[in-house]
Amino acid sequence: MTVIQSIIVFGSIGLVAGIILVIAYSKLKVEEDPKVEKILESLPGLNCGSCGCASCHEYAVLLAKGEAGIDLCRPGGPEVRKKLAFIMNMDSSEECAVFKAVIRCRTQERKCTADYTGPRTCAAAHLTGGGMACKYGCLGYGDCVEACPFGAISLDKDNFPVINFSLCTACGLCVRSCPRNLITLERVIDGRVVYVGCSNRQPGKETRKVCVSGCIACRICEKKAPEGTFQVKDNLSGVIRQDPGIKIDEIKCPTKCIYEMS
Amino acid sequence: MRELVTIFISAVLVNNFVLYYFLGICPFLGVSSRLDSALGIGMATTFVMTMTALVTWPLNYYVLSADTGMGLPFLEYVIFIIVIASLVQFVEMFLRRFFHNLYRALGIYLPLITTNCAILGMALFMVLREYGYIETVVFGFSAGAGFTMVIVIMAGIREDIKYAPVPEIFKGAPITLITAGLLALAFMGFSGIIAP
Repeated sequence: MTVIQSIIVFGSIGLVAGIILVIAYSKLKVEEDPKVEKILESLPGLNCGSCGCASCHEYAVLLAKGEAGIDLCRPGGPEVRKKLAFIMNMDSSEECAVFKAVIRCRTQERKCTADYTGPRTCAAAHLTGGGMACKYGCLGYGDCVEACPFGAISLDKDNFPVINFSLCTACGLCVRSCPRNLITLERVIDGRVVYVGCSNRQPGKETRKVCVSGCIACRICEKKAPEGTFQVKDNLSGVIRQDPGIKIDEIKCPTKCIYEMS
Repeated sequence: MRELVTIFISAVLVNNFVLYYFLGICPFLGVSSRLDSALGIGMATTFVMTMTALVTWPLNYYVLSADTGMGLPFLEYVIFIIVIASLVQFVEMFLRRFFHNLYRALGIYLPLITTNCAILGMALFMVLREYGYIETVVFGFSAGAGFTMVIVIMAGIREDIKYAPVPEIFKGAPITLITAGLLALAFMGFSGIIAP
């Protein structure tokens, strides 16, 4: 008797709950463009915000409405672009630039003038200089490591951040996290990125005092590398155009602060 | 009235669901790393708890109870779970339709509430302690409020721990559990408020 009773009670409560949910669903259903669902499936779903939208869902909605382009998703790269183009019936043939983040400070040793004992974050250490001799160099508390949603940045044994080239998606979150603005996004040409591993804008003599491998703005790279690839500005060299013709060994940078990542 | 105030203070401070009964530990540890999401899941849990109290009490009283209903107390668990799950589904649909921003802010936490044992615990305590209807609703609300308060405190502490020099082996889960333990010890100080 109890068995039958409980089956009836349990069944009817389940049924009532089910019916209420079905009615509620039909009344409260949100009409959504079927494209949004498809777009959302092909997006990486990381909500990194590099497209300028708060979430992947928001980007999908904008894209389905035609208010955003198909080329905004940096983590997705060319693959996602192709998929989006297929969904939106758009042309995907044009070349898609690939970017990677580079850290423009790669000295072998960090010269210190004082001990820093404050909170272990770059943002806090930057306020006081972190006890470092170089006012431009990497503080090494790993704010960028924290910021990276892909685990592409790790600190090496000397607390210098190292970017994993294949994991980096150029979402740009680390760029914003660095209080000293050491990280930039550079275009990948022929599967590699050439960059100057220094951000010190002091004159060469001053730079030499604080770092063994800082850029001293000697302009050798401007002369030895193909025309228009390097430019020295504010006592600091920088790559203004990535070129397959740049050969780091031939430039003979006296402080060896030109690096490549591939 | 006095009774209701006692229930409220008891559920929020003295016999807090998280720190005294160790219910709802999963969201307490999982969602407490950021203050805003902690507040979000706290509010959602409070809402679902109150709704659960509203719905499960009549079900228990008129259908399941041995004295006043059909005498099927062994069905408590399954039926309460069904009610909680459908409520969460309903709340989700409702929010999606009318409060889209809140829906987006809560995100994945909303369906997660279904499996929050604090809510089932609340419904079972209600039966165990033989609360009346009003008492149950107040109990549900205050249990949710207590949960919100504790998870927000925890999120605040964890945000500060990020900047503290925690020894390498304690980083991550260990320091969080130690913090939760200390918090529970601190809340034991409230046990004198209500005389037994």
